[in-house]
Amino acid sequence: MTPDTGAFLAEARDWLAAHMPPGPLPSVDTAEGFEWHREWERALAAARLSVVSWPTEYGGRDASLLEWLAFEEAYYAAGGPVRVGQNGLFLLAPTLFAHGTREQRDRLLPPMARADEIWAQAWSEPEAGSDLAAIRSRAVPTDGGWLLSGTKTWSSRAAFADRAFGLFRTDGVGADADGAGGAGGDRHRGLTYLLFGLRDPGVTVRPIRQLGGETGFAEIFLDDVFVPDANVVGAPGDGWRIAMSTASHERGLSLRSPGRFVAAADRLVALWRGVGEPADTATAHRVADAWIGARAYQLHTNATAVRLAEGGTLGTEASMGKVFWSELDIALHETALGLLGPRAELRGERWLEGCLFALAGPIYAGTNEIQRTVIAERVLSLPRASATSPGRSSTSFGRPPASPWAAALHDLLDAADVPAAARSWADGDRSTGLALWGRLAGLGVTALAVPEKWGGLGASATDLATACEELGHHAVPGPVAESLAAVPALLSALAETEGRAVPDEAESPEADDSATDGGVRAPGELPAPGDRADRCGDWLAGLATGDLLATLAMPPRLPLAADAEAAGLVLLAEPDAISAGRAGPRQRSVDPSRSLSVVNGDDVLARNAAAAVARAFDLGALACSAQLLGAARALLEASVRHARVRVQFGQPVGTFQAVKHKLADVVIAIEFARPLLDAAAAAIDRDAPTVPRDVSAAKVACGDAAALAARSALQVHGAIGYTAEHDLSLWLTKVRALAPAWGSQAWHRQRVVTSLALPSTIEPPSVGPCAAAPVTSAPSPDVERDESPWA
Amino acid sequence: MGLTVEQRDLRDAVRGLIAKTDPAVSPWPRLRKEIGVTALAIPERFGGAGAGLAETCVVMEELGRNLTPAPMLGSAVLAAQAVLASGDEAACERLLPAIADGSATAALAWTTPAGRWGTAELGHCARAVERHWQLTGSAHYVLDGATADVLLVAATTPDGTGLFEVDPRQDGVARTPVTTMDASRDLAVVRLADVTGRRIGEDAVAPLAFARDQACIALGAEQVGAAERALELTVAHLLTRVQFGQPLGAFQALQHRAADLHVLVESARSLSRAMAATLTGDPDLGLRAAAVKVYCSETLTRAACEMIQLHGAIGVTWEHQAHRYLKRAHSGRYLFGSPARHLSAISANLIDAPN
Repeated sequence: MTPDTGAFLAEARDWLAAHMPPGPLPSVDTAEGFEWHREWERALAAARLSVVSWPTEYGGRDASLLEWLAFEEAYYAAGGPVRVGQNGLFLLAPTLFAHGTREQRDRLLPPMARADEIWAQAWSEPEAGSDLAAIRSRAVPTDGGWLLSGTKTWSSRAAFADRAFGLFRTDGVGADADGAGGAGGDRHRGLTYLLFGLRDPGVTVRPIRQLGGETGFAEIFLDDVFVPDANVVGAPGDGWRIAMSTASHERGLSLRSPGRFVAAADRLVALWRGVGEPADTATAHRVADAWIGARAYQLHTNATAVRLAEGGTLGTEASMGKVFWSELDIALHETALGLLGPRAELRGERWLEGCLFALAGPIYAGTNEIQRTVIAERVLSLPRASATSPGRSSTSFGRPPASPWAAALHDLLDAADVPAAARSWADGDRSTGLALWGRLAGLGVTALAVPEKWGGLGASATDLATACEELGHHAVPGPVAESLAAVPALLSALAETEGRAVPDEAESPEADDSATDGGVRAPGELPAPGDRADRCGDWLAGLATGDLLATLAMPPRLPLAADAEAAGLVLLAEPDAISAGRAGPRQRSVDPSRSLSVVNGDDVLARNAAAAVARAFDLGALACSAQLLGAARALLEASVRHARVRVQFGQPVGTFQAVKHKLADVVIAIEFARPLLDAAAAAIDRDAPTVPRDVSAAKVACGDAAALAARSALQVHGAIGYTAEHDLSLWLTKVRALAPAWGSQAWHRQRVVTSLALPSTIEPPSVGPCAAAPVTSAPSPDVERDESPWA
Repeated sequence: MGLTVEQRDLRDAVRGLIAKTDPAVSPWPRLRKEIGVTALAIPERFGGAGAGLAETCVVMEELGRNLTPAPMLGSAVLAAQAVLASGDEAACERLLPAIADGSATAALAWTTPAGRWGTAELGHCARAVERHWQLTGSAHYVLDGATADVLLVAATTPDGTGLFEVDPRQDGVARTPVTTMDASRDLAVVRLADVTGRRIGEDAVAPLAFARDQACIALGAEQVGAAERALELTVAHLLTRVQFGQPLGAFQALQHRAADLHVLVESARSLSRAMAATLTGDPDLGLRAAAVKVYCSETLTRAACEMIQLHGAIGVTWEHQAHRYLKRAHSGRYLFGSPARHLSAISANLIDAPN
């Protein structure tokens, strides 16, 4: 973060703290409330805080996208009112910057920034909702401009706003009843983007009451309304393209910045702390889910912003984000209402008003049904309804490899026949599987978490997560999380003779520096630190080269050690003692390539090593989460491949909308689990105090995404997916085995909840250049607010 | 669960009467006078029809369909059943005939703002003064509390819990209607300041629990009716609204959502009907009531939310009726205890109870 950014945000926070209205303003959907909000906008504008991302010449601060996001977080954390000018500021303005003329910008932007002119959006019509291209309102050319006629509807706040922007049909004026006009029946052509005044002659605005009682939107009747040529944006006939670039803004970053949801989630946590019953774990878990969702959306948006700042383009993140935040918003509010109980239905209850507004989320800015179809067709390339023949069967989507090394790992696994290795491992022949491990070691995978001084790479948790995701993606058999993550972490702590790697043990009276090397010790007697360091160092070196595989049990979360028969080292790690040991009889796992065993540990290595055990556990849970995410991706890819080629009822099953929507949901789950995994790895690398919370959030999201991907994959494949012969079973069973490992979903949710009971901080974007100093969140004042607005 | 011939006739009579009534006029007077809905669950010797909860639920389903405002739940079910269960014959003779013939409505003032509807925490307490009882306190979410002719009050007594009849016209009685999101259900706060009451029966814990459980089952039936109607209206919309050149109902994702909703409504109806057939004296009444309360509340909430979503923007307007179903779902959800509370009761029953 630059000093300038820091100064800007500090200034913004100070101003907001000093000028925030003391209580909620009257609803923006009332005449009085609208004007209160306009006054607020004017105050913001006077402080040059109303349009921070605009150029300074128009009243902005030239804030980058990331700076704007940070500003929005501060704004909502401070309890900032709804931005009444949002349609103009976040939809029309970007359009004018991208497609407008200099003259239009000079004329329209300053009054917009000052809220002298507040804009409404005139898109939908009674017969054109989701099917926007079906619009019929016309703009007929006349001397010096155009005459608008027709009806627009669902125009938010048009009853109170000053001006409006909309799409009108300029070619194919004699369009047929279905709105299919233009030469060749292409309804997207011949549309023009025009601006008009809501009090111009010929305009009639009829307010429509919303379900909460306010007149939040309106119908607009246009009867030969004159618009001069200067108020056409872009070229006549090019309106669809221009509007679609706008619509992407509406769905995506601009209209719903994460700040809103992070602030709402914090308020929900505060509510739960205030009135929640400790025994009500169901509600506690819902609170955890709401927090996790808000955090995922925040991280995802920040990562997208970083990508855009580096020159990327906004793709279907907009559609995915829209489905995600709108459904998160409803779930969050319903959880709050559940906590309020009967109070929830009383008018004036802020959470209730919020819930009613949230219900509109899946509808406006493109219904979630439409968004799912967009995701299915554009991200997954599932064929349109008209396809009758199988499509391409190759798939790969999701982000490109993080580095050349990650790409090399992916290629290695792609070329190896991992399913065959997994099957023979399951049959008791581990030779191909272990050979694969050898090649992974050659690439450095087994050395990632081993510190350099013992021959490892000392790589970051982020790199470890990347590797484990690939291993999960290919369903690589063997003790992945144990051998690659948890055991190296544990041994590294034990091998330290400098400093206090195992600090608690310094108080233990049992360490005896005078024990001789190689002397036989009584059971339970600790080795000398130097002795221990040597042994651990040897093991670490073996892990790094791949000569040694290791596994461990960590009761109670991980009561049994996985794949002990493939491991040369078996550990038992409990807070009060870490031991090397032997594995008991092998128990079968649902994953045929996995086995589980009790560990009898009698070769005690250390006592009172709770902190080291906890860190090792979190690294193992991270690795497991990464595997689950990789497996989820593989299951989705398999589903898409199948859906494209499997023909039933004369068409690929991927053309069926129910299949598309089901797989779109998997895309979304994976997309929003990923940033939580990334954040958990980053927290481990920073040794942040939030590691337990972040790792648990990642496990919850990755586990749920994998479970959804698995169920959906089985369903899409039909009966063949149920067979053992089909490779799908390798991933299905691995997900089933890993999901409850390293802590169940319920346990991790509870751990998030427990962490939220501690004083919270809203964290700044943790990726990208805008990592600001932590902002302490004061949870917004709770629910009993009936004060009148500020004077 | 099918209806008997008599129950079907009752349903048809209620549905027909409501359908023929001008929407601007309440069908309630005719429902109680011509069909005698308030008499159904009251024994004949107290002026009732001597039918049971199952018949009451048939009526409740019909009232739910169109969200017809009616004091049925609060008066004929909750209050009347509390009196009946008290075993106080004199009170029954005194109070039930007027409730049965609908000439009087009754309200039961019970809970604190926390809304738990248990007996550990009541809105009022009562102290004995010579041969009278004096009641003080405030009760919330009282169905039809502001307008009821007969006011019953659950109050903590020195020896436990009591049920009291209070003349609402006395000084010291304050009844304040509450503005809720669901305009079709009247709730009030009832405050008593050292007001005289007449005790009904002895210890009131069992009668109150019985009345609450009956009310939960009746409410569940109302929710089923509302959910069914919400689904019907939604399907009708899917068949008529055209976008992208075809009715919305031609889109598979929406077909599947409607199908899922149908399964949900049907299973809620099965549960509701089965539980309504519970015999009096069934020791599992509490468990059954809790199950209905949870499942039917969830069903109506889902149905109402889906109704809004599948209607698109028109579903969030005041003019369209979708929001009324949603608000009814919200108001019923927490009445007589939240779903979470009832789930705890079920799990306590199933998990903690000895084998």
